[in-house]
Amino acid sequence: MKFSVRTVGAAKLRSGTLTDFKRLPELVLETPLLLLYTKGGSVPHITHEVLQLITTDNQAVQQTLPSTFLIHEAVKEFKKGLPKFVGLPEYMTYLSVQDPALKTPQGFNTKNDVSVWTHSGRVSLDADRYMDMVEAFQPDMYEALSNGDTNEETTKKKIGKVIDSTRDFYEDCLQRHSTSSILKNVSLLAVLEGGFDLEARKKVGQTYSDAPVDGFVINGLHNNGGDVEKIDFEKIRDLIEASIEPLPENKLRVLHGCWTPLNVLNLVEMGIDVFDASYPYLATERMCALTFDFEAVEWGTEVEKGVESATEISLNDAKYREDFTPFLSGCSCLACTKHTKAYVYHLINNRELLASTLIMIHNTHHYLEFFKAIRQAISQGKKLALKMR
Amino acid sequence: MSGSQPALTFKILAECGVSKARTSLMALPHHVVETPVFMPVGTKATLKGLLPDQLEAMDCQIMLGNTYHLGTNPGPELLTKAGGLHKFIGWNRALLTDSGGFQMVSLLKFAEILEEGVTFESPYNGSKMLLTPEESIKIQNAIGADIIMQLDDVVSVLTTGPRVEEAMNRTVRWVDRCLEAHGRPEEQSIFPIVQGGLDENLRRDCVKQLTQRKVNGFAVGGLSGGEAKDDFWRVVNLCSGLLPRDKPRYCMGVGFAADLVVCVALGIDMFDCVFPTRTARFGCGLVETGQINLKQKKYALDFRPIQEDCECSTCKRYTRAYLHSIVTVETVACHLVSVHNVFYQLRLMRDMRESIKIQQFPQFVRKFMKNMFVDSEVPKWIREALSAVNISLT
Ligand SMILES: [Zn+2]
Ligand SMILES: [Zn+2]
Repeated sequence: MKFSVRTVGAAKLRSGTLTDFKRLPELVLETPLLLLYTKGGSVPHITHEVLQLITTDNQAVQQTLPSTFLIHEAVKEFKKGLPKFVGLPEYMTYLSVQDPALKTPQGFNTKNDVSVWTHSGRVSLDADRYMDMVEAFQPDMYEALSNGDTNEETTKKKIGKVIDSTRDFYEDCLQRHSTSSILKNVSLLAVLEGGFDLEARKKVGQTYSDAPVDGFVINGLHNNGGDVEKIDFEKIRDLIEASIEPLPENKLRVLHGCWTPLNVLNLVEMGIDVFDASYPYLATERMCALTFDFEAVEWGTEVEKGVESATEISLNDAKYREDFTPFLSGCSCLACTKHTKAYVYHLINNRELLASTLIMIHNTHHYLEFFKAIRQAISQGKKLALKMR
Repeated sequence: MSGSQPALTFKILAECGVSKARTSLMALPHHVVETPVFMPVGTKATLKGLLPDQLEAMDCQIMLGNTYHLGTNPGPELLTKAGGLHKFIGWNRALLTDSGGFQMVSLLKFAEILEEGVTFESPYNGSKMLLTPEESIKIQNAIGADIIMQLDDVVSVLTTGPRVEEAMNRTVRWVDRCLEAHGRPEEQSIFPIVQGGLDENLRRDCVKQLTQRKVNGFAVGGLSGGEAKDDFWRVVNLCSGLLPRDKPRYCMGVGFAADLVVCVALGIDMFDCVFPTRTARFGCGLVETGQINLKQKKYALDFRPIQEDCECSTCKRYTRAYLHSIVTVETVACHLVSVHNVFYQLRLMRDMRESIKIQQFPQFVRKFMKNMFVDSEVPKWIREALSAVNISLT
C-alpha cells in the first residue's frame, strides 16, 4: 500500500490518498477516510446488493476480531481470504483487534493473551494465534495485536503494563509479518498505548517513530462502545497530540471509536486520517436517523457559539405516526427519497427488520456524505463546521 | 386511473396443448402481471426486510398484503392519509389484499361467524368487535390494492356435515354484500372465493352461483388446511375446470414448489404463500430438491452458493459457509436467504411461463419432478394429478 499525504495550511489538517493495494491495484481511497462498520462480516442490516444502492464509490470496510473470530476455521479452509468469504472482495479490508461499537469488558487481558468477545462469549488469543488468523483472513491492512485495556481511571502502573505487553505483541507480530509470504505487501499498523498518561504517550510515540509499519493506531483512550460519544474532548486532546507528535508525517494515523460529528472534526484538524463508522451504526440500533448539518467555512471563521443542532431524531416517536416526510429533507439517500418517517415508525412498532435497514441506509449515506464534505472542504482550503441552530 | 380502463383485463398468451396450464397477461392498474404468478406475502406492509427496489430488481410483479394486520395497524385512516398502501410502502407495482376473515378466525380466540359478519374479541382491549363483508371492503378500499378479496365464511377443510354447506351459501350471500359495498370498482377488482370443502357437489354449486356475478377473477379457497393431498388436487382440478376460461384463477395459500407445478398444470394462474420468507427466517434456503437448513453444521465448510445455477444476488456472491456463520445471528442472513427464496419462486414461475409459451410444459414438469424427487419416488398424488391432465412422468 502507498500513502501519499500532504499537510494543509497552518493547522495539522492532512489530506491524502491510499493506493497500490496488492489485492486491489486499481483502488484509490482518499483520507480522511471512513471505514464502513461490519458485524459478522457484513455492514449490519445491509446486504451487498443494498450497499450498492447506498454507494457505488470505492469504499473500505473494517472487520473486527470479535465478530470474525468464530469463522476463522472456515476462512482458513476457504483459502481465498476474509474479504471474499464475507462477500465484500471489492472493498479495502481493515482488520482491527476490538469492535469499536462493542464495549470491551475490562480486566481480562494478561501479559500474553488478549480477550475478545464473540457472540457466543469470550475467547483469548496470543500473538501467534492472532497471526495465524491474519494469515487466513488476508486483509489489506491490519493492526498488531494490542492490549488497549485503559481509560481515564487506569493507574500509571497498569498503563505501564499495557504498554509493555502491547510492545511484546507488536514485536511478535512484526516478526511473523516480516517472514510471512502471504502478508507480503499487506499493511501492518503499530498500536500506540499510554492511557491518560501524557508522559507515557510521548515516550511511546518516540519509541515507535521509526517502526517499519505503514501506520499507527492511537489506542487506549476508551473501552469502545457508546460511551465514547460522551468523552469530554478537552480531556483527551493533549493525549492524542502527545501520541501523534513524534510520528513521521508520511504514515497513516487511525483512531477508533464512535466519536460525535463535532469530535470527528476536531480529530481531523489534529491530523487523524482514518475513522470507523460505529457512530452511525449505534444511532441505527437506537432507531435514530442522523440529521446533523454541516458546511465548509473559511479558516479563522469564528464558529458561532450557538446551540449545537440536534444530531439525530428518534423515529420511534409517536409524533411521526402521520408524518409523511423523509427523515431529513433534502437527503438524496434511497430511504429519504422513497420512504417516510410514518412508514418507518410503523415498521419499528411492528418489529419489522426493514426499519433497521432503512435507517442504516440513511445513516450510512449521511455519514459518508459527511466524510466527503470533510475532504472537499480540505481540498478547497476550507474546513468543515457543523451548522449551529 | 381513467374510468375507461377496466380494473383488470386478462389476455391468454398461450395454452399448453397437453395439460390445462396457460400463460397470460393480467393488466392491473399498477402493473401488467404475467401469470402463472407467485405473490410473496408482505404481512405488515413489508416483505421481511426486503426493499421494494430489491423486489423490482428480481421482477416481482405483485405482492400480497394482509387486511387484518393492515386494518389494525397502521389502520385504514392512516393508509387513506398516506394515499394508500402503494404509497405508504413505496411499491409501485401491483398489490392484492385478502379479506381479513381467514386470519381473524385462525389468529384470534373466540372468533365466531354469524350472518352479519365475523365477531371477535379485540386483541387490544378485549371488547366485542364485528367484521362485516362491508367493513372488510371498506378497509380494502382504503388500502387500495389492485385485487381485493371478498369476506368469506371460513370453515376448516376437515369440517364435514351441514356446516360446510352453510359456509358455502353464506360465502355467496356475502359476495353480493361485498360487491354492493365496493367503493372503487374502477380501480380494484373483487375476487369471490369458491368454497364447499371437499364436497364435489357443493363446489359445483358454488362455482355456478359465483360465475353469475359480475367479477374479474375467482379464487379457490378453503384448501391448504391439512387436507389429504389427494383431496386437495381433486378439488383444484374440479374448480379450475368449472371456472370460466377467460378469467384468472387464484389458489389461496399454495407455495411449495411441487404444489405450484401441479396446480399450474391443473390450470391455476395465481398463488400466494408465506412459506418462502418464513422459512428464510429460520435459515432455510430453497433448492431444486426442496430446502436446506443452513444452520446445520455440514454447511460450515460448504463453499457453494445456496443453489449452484441460481442467478439471484445472494447466490452470485455468498456461500453456504458464510450464510451458516451468520444465520439467525445477523439480520443480513435473513435478508440474503429471503432474496434467494423469493427469487427461487419467481424463477420457477417464469420458467413455467416460458415452457408453456413454447409448448414444452410437460417436459418441464417431468424434469422438475425428477430433480425434486431425486432420492425418492414421486408421490402418488402428484402422479395422479398430473396424469389427470395428461402428463405422464414416465
Ligand atoms: Zn436520507
Ligand atoms: Zn439464489
